Amino acid sequence: MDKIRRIISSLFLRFCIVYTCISMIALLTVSERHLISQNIRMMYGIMILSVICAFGDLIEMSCREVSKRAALIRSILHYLYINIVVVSFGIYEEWFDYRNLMQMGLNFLSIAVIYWINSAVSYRIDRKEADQINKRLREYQKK
Amino acid sequence: MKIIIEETNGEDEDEIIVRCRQLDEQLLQLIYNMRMKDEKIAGMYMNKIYLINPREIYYFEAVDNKVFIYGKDQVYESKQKLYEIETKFENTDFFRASKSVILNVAKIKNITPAFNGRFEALLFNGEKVIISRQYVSVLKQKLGL
Repeated sequence: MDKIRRIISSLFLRFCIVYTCISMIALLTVSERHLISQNIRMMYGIMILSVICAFGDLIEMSCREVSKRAALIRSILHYLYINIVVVSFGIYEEWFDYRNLMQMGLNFLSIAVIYWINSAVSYRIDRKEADQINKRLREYQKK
Repeated sequence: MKIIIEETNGEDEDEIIVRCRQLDEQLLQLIYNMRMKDEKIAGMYMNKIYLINPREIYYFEAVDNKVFIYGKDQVYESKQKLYEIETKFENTDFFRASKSVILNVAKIKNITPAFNGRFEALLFNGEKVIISRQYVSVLKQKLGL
């Protein structure tokens, strides 16, 4: 039960981060005319995309223990998954033109930035947990 | 805390009865310490068998169906299986840190986040041991978090 709760909260956190980041990037990059005409559709599109991206986290989760190498491979696969999903969805929704290399390059850069923000947030949460454990560890060892 | 010592003339084994309202951390620590003091584990080094005090053990590791006992700077081989060691040292300072490692909490200097949600424990002898994500909760429970 605890495990399921942890997975759900992790997926929800990812969804929130991805949704916020994609929305901000969309606001900055999409033209005003485009925004006015397709506002609602785009909002739902970003939401669906965020859910699909959040589920990509399952690639890195495992019931079994994985080696450092396997963890690295999973991370690469996760990153590739995010790239494929975002680009395919963006082309399908006509958010960007795949023939425009400059725009495609910016998209890949955006994905990399969001991926980095995501990882940084995860690291920060783990860091906080480690600090809490270290504090308790010192108290435990004093006894 | 009231301590009562009763001497008997019988041939029964010595026993300690803890009578308390609730098992708090202090009492648990006391029980762990008593258990740890009695337990010794046999380890082989250079074809000689040594009886090792668990307090001197940093961690146990299973590698290729063999179990090794890691001290400050010495490694012994154990004939026991990792799950047997886990059962033997249940409710002591030892806890399962990963599928192949049982770690002594008393020997952890600090913990840092590692790659992919795992944690890395730096031990007092400078060694680093990985704590798997799924076993972090075991450590937290042991520390009362």
